[in-house]
Amino acid sequence: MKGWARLRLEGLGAEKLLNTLLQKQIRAAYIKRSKRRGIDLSVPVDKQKQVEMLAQEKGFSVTVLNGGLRQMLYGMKKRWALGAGLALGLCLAALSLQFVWLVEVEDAGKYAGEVRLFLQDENIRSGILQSSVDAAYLQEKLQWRLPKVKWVWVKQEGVRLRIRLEEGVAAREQPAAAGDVVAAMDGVVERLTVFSGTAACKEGDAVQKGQVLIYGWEEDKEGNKTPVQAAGEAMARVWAEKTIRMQTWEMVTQPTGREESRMLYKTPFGTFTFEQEPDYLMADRVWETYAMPGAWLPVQLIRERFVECSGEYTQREWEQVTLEAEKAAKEALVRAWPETADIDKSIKISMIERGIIEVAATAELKRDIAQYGQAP
Amino acid sequence: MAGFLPEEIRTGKMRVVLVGNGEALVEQHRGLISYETEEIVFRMLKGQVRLQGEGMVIASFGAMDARVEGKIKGVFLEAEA
Repeated sequence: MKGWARLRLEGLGAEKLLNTLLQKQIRAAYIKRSKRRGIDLSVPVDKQKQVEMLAQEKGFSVTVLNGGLRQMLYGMKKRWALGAGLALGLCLAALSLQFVWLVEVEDAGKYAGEVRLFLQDENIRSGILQSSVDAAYLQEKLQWRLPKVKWVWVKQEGVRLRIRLEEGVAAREQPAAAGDVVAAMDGVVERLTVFSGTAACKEGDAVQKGQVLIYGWEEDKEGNKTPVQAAGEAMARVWAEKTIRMQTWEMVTQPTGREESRMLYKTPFGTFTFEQEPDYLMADRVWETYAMPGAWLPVQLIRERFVECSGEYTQREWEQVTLEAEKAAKEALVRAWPETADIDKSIKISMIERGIIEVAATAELKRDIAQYGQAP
Repeated sequence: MAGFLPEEIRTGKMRVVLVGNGEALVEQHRGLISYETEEIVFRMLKGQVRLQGEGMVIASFGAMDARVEGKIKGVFLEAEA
């Protein structure tokens, strides 16, 4: 058996013992003084018993510090059932990690039942193989199944499948009078469901904000039109965009060596000084606060230091600027449209004037854009 | 060249190789005279070699060679005439 055993030998004359090991052709390694009278050393596992005997013969006390994994496995040879059980347990643990054991539905509110039904239809339950779960497919399908929900998030995390719903949008208050349903924002209609009224657009139509989606009338067989309050859903592809601007240059300041300072007196009624500011074109300011004699007074003494600087405009690295600008645009987009957090965003960079770039981050979403319009 | 042996092997002379100040290889030693973390003394055929330093550990100790690790500050030869 190969490997090393770590021993602690305590006694007098460790050097003599080491020389004895040398004569017996026993190699030792990592010999270290543990205490004044002791040493720690590693010896080959197959020589461990011999070393222990030699050490005890010479009056050393022997402590095995670390048998190591190999020694543990060697010991298990005699307890094969225990080893086999351990190996089997490890295999079972590894196998169990291949399954989904927990399906969690969060913030579903009134849609909880519907989500459970959906999971049942899709045969998603505890104990299914992780490889048979497609989170992106489930998310897409659930989004379509629950059009009133603002957004759906499905993610598989190890043995856990998490489904989270953004709080369902409150039902629109239907106006009493007849009227159209119009587009709340620009988009491309993917699915139009008319509850009442007459469709004014079809799937695939690009519509603009305010454009009529469902007319507020219905026609009978004779061609007579009756005014109704139009109602329905228009699931559409919409695009969220946020634009930011960023300078491609920065100002680098360099102290010229000149500096002046003045004293300020900060009181509860304001800050006062009896000295003028130096007439530097550009200066860095440093404030240092001092304790006033008689610290109980509500007055602070501040020394304001002006360090004159010369400034120079420097062009920044293009890659660094665009990277920062992209990040800022994406963050601005997520702040404005939180549901775009997990959606891929496209970036468009344009130089709008010398030294300033404009970066637009765009993300595509699906949402119901139908809203009640003005009564005709 | 058949049958070639380096001189130190043939004559049993000790050889000490320093690798920076963090490692020393001691070849052809004849055993250990004393070991402390600040000083290790190896026996040689005629005399002894003293290594001084801080936190010295004998990383390997065999019949032919030994390797010392730690902060080595000095190597002193005390040869017999």
